[in-house]
Amino acid sequence: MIQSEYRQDIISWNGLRKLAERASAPGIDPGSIPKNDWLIIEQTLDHLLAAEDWNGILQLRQIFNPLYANDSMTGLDSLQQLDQQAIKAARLANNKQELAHLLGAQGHNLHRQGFHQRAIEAFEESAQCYQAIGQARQSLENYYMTSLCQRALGNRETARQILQNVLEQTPSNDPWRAHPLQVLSWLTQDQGDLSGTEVLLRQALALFRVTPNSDMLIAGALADLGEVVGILGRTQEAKDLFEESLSMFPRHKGQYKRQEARTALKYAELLMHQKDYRAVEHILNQADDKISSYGHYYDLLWQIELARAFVFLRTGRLIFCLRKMHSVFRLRRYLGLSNVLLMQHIMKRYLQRFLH
Amino acid sequence: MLNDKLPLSFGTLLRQFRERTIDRRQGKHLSQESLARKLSDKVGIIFNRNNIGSWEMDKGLVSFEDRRTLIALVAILTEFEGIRTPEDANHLLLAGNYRELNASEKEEIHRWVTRKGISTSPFSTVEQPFRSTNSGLDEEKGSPSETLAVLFGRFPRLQSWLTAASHPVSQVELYARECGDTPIDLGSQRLSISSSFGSYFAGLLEKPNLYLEIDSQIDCPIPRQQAGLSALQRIFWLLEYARGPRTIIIGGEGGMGKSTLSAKIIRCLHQEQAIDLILGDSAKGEHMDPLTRKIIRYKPGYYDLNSFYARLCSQLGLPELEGRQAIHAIRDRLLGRKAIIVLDNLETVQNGDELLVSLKALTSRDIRAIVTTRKIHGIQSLDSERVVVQLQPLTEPQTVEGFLDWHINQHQYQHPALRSLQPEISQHCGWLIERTGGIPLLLQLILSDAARFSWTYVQALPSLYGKELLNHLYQVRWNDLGNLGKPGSTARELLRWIAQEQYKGLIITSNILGEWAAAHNLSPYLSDAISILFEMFLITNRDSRLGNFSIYPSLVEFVEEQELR
Repeated sequence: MIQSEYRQDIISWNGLRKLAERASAPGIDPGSIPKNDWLIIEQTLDHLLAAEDWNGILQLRQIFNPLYANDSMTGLDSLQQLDQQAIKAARLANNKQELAHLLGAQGHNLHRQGFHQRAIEAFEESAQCYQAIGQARQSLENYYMTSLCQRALGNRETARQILQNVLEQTPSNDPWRAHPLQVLSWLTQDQGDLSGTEVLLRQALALFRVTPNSDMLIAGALADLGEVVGILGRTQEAKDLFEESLSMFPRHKGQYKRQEARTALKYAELLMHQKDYRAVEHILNQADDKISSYGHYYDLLWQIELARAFVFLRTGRLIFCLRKMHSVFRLRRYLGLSNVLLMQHIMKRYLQRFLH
Repeated sequence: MLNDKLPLSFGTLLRQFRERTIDRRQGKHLSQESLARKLSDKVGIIFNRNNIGSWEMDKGLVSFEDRRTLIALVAILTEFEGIRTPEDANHLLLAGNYRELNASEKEEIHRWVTRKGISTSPFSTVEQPFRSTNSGLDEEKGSPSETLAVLFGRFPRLQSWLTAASHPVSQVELYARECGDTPIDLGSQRLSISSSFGSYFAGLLEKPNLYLEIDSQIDCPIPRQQAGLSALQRIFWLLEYARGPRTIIIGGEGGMGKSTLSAKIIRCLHQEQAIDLILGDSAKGEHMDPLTRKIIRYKPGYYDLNSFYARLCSQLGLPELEGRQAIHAIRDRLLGRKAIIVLDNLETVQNGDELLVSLKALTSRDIRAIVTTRKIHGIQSLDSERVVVQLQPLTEPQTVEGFLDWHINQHQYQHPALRSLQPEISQHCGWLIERTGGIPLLLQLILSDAARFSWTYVQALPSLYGKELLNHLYQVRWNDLGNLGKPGSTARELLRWIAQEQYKGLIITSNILGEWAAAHNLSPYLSDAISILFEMFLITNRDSRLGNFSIYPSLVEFVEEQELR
């Protein structure tokens, strides 16, 4: 450590806190914050790295925790760099508690972006770290997250097994059970059991509603429920559920763009089957704009591209449809996802609706 | 009047008047900081609360020559009801040994206060009528018709010029003349746009009063049956017409207004909902290698295609791709969207360029491209793929007079001496055109020299033309800055810093400038340095509220060359 050149007092911790508060405040779109303001992160990180101040790096990362937990901005270069360096710093400082937390957060962000295999690795290491320091519940939560990734990779049996283990270890009166129940509902939907899916989702929703600060969880579950109810043919009820889900985002405007786009996509799929293609394209454009700038949410991006391909197909623009499918394949190839899984996805999202 | 029996000092009175103000939005009186901010907004020079504090404690005084600041101070205090009568104002001025307000100054304050929506202006009983030709304090804040009325009142030539010279033959209007006048609120795209194009171009998209349409400057080929449209209207039409050319190439020497025109076009297309996505990049002095992440320096105007692809991929949420892979991915991704791809500030574009080949592959009925460049080689002016627009010099005396009137109106608050030139422009117009070749930026620079020195001074400039004259004017200014002591050297440092930062997408606000100056121990000289740069027409500020300072791309290149030397 070059102690002489390093002065902790030249770091504007207050300035950093202000930026973090501003960038993660509801109503602020982080993308509207000029580049100037983000530079402070890179400058501070460079400074701390040069001084090999691992605790300082962890402190810096901690300041921006809310932004990483939200769903809009984590693809931004400076935030990605900070995350990587913070994980290294936690390892070097042998701070297992922080390492477990950071790996868990990284797993979430990798999963949101579509890098499911890497997310599994992060969640597993995080779970082990928590186990090692005796925090069984946090370990279980990270273990649970691997089920989402396993499902996304097509390993549904593994995913189901993980969820069963998790549910066995969770008390029946614990509202957190809503999480595994929601994922279980997806697996049930994958099997084509829509009524069972609806039951599970309603259970999950009821539990989310008694969980504090759960707006985004409720919004997500409402979107899932809207999708299933729509496939079952109760269109108006589905629309109401989507509207209710979308109505929750303005309170958190700008901070959960991926979640918002996810609901919008499911709503667009419902409208597509009502042949309201103009509205569908409009909604898909909005969803696209929400996720393509700063989040690098490739997983949702290919799904939006797939929805566009279906719009083109159903409006007779076959060449456009094929080119959009190329776009879908390209993104999935980048994420390392197989085409067999794509067929399963199409079966679930589009043919299920058609069959009903 | 406040405490009129006491012989109060200027500072004490200033403080009393400030503490008597009512800021209804905040529910309290104006703080030193908010007064400083409002003063900065109005005058265009940065003041901070220390300045106000120093005046209030009688430690410092506003310069006698700086009447503009004094009048602005009185106007703000009147607007917020701290000063309630003209006598209050004169009392304050006399306490500082300044002269009383004259009729035109009273009227100026009256107009300001009226414009701020205060119907009972204490200065309303002045003898001269409201429509006097004397200057207002900030005309931008008024309604367009009000602004025009004031503008035409002050610059009588402008009205006739606007109606006669700027639209000489157009009879058909497909788009409202105001199309593109409304700034785009970049909102969540601000970070992306400013990172890609730099703050100069982002500022053009967000700036009010961006563009003065001069039809004769735009040499745009006339498609069949479009002769009745003005050049700008033809461009809008060509870019919106389904079978129109996919790419528009705007050519012209540095300072002709290429970026400004492209910003106007983008704004209009956005307003007309012909586009919903703005993509692209700007040629910068440095790029980041997409693979190694190292900074690579290029000569000005050079463009690296891989950076272009990387930028587009990033803007579209795609992973970084190269070459044909990137083209295919971007093209497929854009399907179903209406977008404009902008490539700003290239040195040359010639037929067969790899860049044009890629643009051809990317563009479609719904995806159009705008390229701005200094030189164009071997490209047809209009075919199914491209339209070439050449920005022509201003050669008509009437056009130049109107343009310079507009320039004076836009910049008179930052450089008050410009006003005195207004009556003399017509007699100097002929040689100004000859001397500058009608290049707008050269006209503006020489006009600012005439205001700083004299007409005789500018008439004695060496016989240089075009880019050489531009570089000469920059060089003389650069040398002058070197002889102006600390404020001059601060101004040089400031230019170097802005040149470096503005293409990184940094918005240079007043606060950022203040921080920069503090970090370099240059705070005492910052205000003077900015005033000098305004007077030399080397810096522009596009946001009178928070500050958005930038310099012209040609000046960036000049400053970078100075660095290399």
